[in-house]
Amino acid sequence: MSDPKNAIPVELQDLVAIACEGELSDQDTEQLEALLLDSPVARQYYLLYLHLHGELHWHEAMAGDLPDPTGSSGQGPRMPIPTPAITRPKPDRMSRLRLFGFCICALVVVGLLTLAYQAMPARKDIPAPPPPTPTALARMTGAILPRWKAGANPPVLGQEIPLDRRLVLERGVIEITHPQSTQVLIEGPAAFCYRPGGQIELEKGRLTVLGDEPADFTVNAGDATIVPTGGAIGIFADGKEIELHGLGGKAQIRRVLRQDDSLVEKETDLAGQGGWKWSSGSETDPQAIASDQGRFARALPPRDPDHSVARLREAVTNNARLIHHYTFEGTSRLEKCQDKRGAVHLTEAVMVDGRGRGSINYTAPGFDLTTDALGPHREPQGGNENGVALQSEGRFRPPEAMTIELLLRYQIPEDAGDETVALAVATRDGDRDCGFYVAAVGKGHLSLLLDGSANWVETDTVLAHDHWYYVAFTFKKLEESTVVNAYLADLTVGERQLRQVLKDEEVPGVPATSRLGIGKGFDNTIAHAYPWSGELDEIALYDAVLDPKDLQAHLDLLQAGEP
Amino acid sequence: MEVGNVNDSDANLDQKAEAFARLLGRCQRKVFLYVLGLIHNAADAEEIQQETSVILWRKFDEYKPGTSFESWACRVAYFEVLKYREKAARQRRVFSVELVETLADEAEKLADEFDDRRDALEGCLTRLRDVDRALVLRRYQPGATTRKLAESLGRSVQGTRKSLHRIRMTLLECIQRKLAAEERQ
Repeated sequence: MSDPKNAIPVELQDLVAIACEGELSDQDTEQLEALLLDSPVARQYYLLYLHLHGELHWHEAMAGDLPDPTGSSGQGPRMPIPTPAITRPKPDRMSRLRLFGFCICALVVVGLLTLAYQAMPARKDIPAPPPPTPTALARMTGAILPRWKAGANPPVLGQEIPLDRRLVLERGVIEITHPQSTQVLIEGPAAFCYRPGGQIELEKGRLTVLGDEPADFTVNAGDATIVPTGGAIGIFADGKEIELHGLGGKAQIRRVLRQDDSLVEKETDLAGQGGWKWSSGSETDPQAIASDQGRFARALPPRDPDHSVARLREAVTNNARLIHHYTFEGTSRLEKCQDKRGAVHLTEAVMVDGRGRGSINYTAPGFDLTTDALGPHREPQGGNENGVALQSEGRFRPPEAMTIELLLRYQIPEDAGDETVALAVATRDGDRDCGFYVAAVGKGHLSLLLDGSANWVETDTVLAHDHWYYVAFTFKKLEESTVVNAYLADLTVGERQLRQVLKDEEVPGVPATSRLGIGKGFDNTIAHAYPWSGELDEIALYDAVLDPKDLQAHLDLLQAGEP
Repeated sequence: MEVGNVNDSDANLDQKAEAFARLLGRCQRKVFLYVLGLIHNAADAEEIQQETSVILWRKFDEYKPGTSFESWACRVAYFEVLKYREKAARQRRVFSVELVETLADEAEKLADEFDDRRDALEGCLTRLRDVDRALVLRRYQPGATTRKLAESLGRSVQGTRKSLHRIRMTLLECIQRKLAAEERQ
């Protein structure tokens, strides 16, 4: 439904609006039916309009009045509608009658439930169905830099996890301990809800279950119920797809599939180090995938909370010269692609020869558990022109003096050779006018290029496969050239001192003004090309050449991060 | 969730009631919305939802643990809608079985999107003009109707209905924009 107002005939709009009031005449009903049978677009409009009407009705008129069979809210969070100062009208006679009728209806339901209960065989002196037995609750027993969505009334360390409340952990990691000592680690960003009886509904995010015994709970993710049956497992959900990773443990996936108009239950068992992936609601069986052991936290790392990517982020945010900031944090793609400082927001860009067989990973594991990294997709073969990454919606004009700082992890492509180019941050405005500010060339030489007709300027650093690096480049524009300094530290091996890998190097060309490629660049026809291979995080652009001491201070904030 | 192999012993009857209450509580809203889409009358949809709850309890032994209770509930609700339709058709014109079936199929296809739309609606409500938000909230107060709202405001029913329709369309457009923006990313 592209534009409801323009695409939908007024006649249909009027009839659907009247239908919401329950005031359709026979003639109206006939007319509405004809319109709906005639057009799928009309039916979609009708269903979406009725859905909106129903949501508003449910939350404002009904949810509070319904008998709650669980004894708790049971409906998820009430929609946080800002409430203007309206005096709630007292119900008039009809409303009271309706309320009375509803109560009668509710009583009938309760009565029928009781009758059904009593009608069961071999029961004597059966009481009415008891209220749910309170179950010993899980407690939040640990957390690292958790940030909860505002207004969510989050759980408190050491206390029970509230039931039936949708919780949104924007970042950080929390540890939850269940009554029978099973532990659950949830990494932000994640949205989840604990239900009575030991159920977690994982809407989005990463979750690790740890326990020697079978877990005393189940995880509902999408269309499946996942039953941990001992050991460690990892679960990932993004609202559409679900992944189950064996981390040495066992689990069972239970799904209901529709087959020939009937519902069929299917069970899939996972054990050991394998993995399964499936689309929620699809009719197909889960597909076996390689288990990604490194993707799931196995324990809360005992480390100094004053040192982390989150601390670096905080320091960067407080820097007055920061002009653009891409942290890739957030609970939606839109949020993750936001420029957290400026207005040069990002959007997906598919390479000139196609996206290949993958997609961007917006929740790639970062250097530590306080962050999510961005994983552009680079196709294993022909990767220079195949893949998908991000670029800005608007043009980026590099300032006269500039610093680009980021965390990166490079994975050497399968087809890596002399022609391999993977760009982390780039612009280009023509054959010669380019700004390949942070690049891995060949087997992973950290390089840059500001003039398409010149040679690559290579540092003496070859990025080690799968290592995390802190990297910073500074640029000072001259007439037709740019003075560049570059610094880096291999975080994975625990380097604590910033290494200068380019010192006052005068590089041909000046940074080009164009859309800003993040995890990609542009070929000489300005087509999308050269996707990054690996992960990127905490990309910060400043309108000044930062002092090496400031950069070292940023690195210091990461020092205690786990190698 | 161990509700499988339920027999009627004292011990697990409690468990069964608890499991049922929990599952029902989680899908009431969706069943209501599903039914409303098929019959477009909120009061009747409430009744059908209640009747569906009774039947679900009666047939709870047929429910397979670990399967989607929501899908099962909607299936039961669908048959209740057909029964309701048959009864109502004696008094007034109602949607044909053919249309109800078509709408049910298409509602099922939109089910995933409905959750996203609900999330988007939260944000869109906050973006409404204060006066519009106040009007739509009053319309959906318990027992409220457009007719009564118009009377209390001293406006015509037609005018109030048009205002509400305009606000709903604004919300639909806002929701669509939000979803499209996310899709583009």
